[in-house]
Amino acid sequence: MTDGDIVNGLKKGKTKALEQLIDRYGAYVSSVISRILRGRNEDCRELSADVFLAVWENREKLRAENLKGYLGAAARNKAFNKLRNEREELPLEEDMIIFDEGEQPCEAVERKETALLVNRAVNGLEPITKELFLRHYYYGQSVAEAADALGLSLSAAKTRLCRGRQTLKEILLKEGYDYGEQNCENK
Amino acid sequence: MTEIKISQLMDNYTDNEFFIDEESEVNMDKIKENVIENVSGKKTKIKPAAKIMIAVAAAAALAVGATAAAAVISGQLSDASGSIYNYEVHEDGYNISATAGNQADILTLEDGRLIFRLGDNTTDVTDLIDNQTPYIYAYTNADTGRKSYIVLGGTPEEYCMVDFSYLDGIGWSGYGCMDSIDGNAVSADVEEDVVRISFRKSYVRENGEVHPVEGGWPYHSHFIVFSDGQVTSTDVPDNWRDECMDAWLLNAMLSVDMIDPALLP
Repeated sequence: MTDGDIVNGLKKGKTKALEQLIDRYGAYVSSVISRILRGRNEDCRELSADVFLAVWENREKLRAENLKGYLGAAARNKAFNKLRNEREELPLEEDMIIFDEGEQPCEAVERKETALLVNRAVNGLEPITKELFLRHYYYGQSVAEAADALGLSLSAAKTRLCRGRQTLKEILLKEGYDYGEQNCENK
Repeated sequence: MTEIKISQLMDNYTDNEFFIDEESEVNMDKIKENVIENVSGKKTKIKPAAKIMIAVAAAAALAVGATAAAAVISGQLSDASGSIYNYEVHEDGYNISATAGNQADILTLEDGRLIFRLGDNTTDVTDLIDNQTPYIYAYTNADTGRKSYIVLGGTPEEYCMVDFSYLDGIGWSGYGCMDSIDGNAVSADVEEDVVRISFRKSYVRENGEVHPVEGGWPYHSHFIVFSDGQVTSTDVPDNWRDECMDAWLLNAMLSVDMIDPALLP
């Protein structure tokens, strides 16, 4: 059974298709959430179920292409939103872009434009930096975990992350935004 | 100055490349149960094959009831996959219980192809069937020793399987129909086509249209029992239909006499 078969089933309102979706991607979804929530199993269960319930609610719009990526993004965002609502934060490295006064922040941009911008910026990173960047800022791995997974030293990983942040800011700047200076020395 | 979090910007990103995955201690079975309960309104579903055999047993009870005093009927049935079903029909003819054994998938969708598996036989029937063209497989029922037929039809999007076998003392009957996704009912059109093309067509050709007995239902919409070649039909109590089965399942209690000989292998 392909993702296309599952999506077609979902669009027909078949609950069996939803079961198959969970069988195929449930472990991935819960893994993404679990990493961000750092072992809060009860919350992880609840949010994992929420992801699939949201898929069911929005099944008419679902597309078979990049289904796993879509589920991963939904899981990741639900987990981050949970932390934000509870005013908790993951200890992410320099998790901030600073815009000068008078500049419109990216939040004011249409969501679709922001998505294009961010995708362009991330895809502009060199491959190993891109993976490192995503492991840390997208999937919530600690710098040490991400560095270890990629066979990098901690300091090399931090330097690469800093370059990644710079590239992201450069792209944002090209789109008309300003930002503050940052020091990329290893900390 | 305005500050924007990178992790918040990343809300707009979708990773379709790395899929960073790790072990999770979360019990997926519980999540699945929770989700399915939520979306299905906490309905308890009977396995399709079990429902099929419930219908068969119920049909038997009602057919017998027409000529004999109401009596408890119980027994064991099997289908082509080797699944065993115990059934019991109570005196009122309404209360049916059935338990299904190991249900095997005879017709499955794999990578967009419809694969028929039974015993040593494995056939890709995707290009052999459609809504107008059945694939018919003959086999001998291990319990009764009688010849039985499996009829496949439809498309990968919606397919249908009909399994006819002999019911002791009653006649030929049995029915199954499921689609490619959830094993439940196919749309009426597909079911009607597959059943009609392979069975009803020849029966109607030989015997004319089937007319229900007084108080019964039109044969094409609800319940009919063909027993030993004698057409009998009966109404279906509402509580039954609601609790036990869907209308589609009642649609084809057929005599083997209805099989078009030209289509048999």
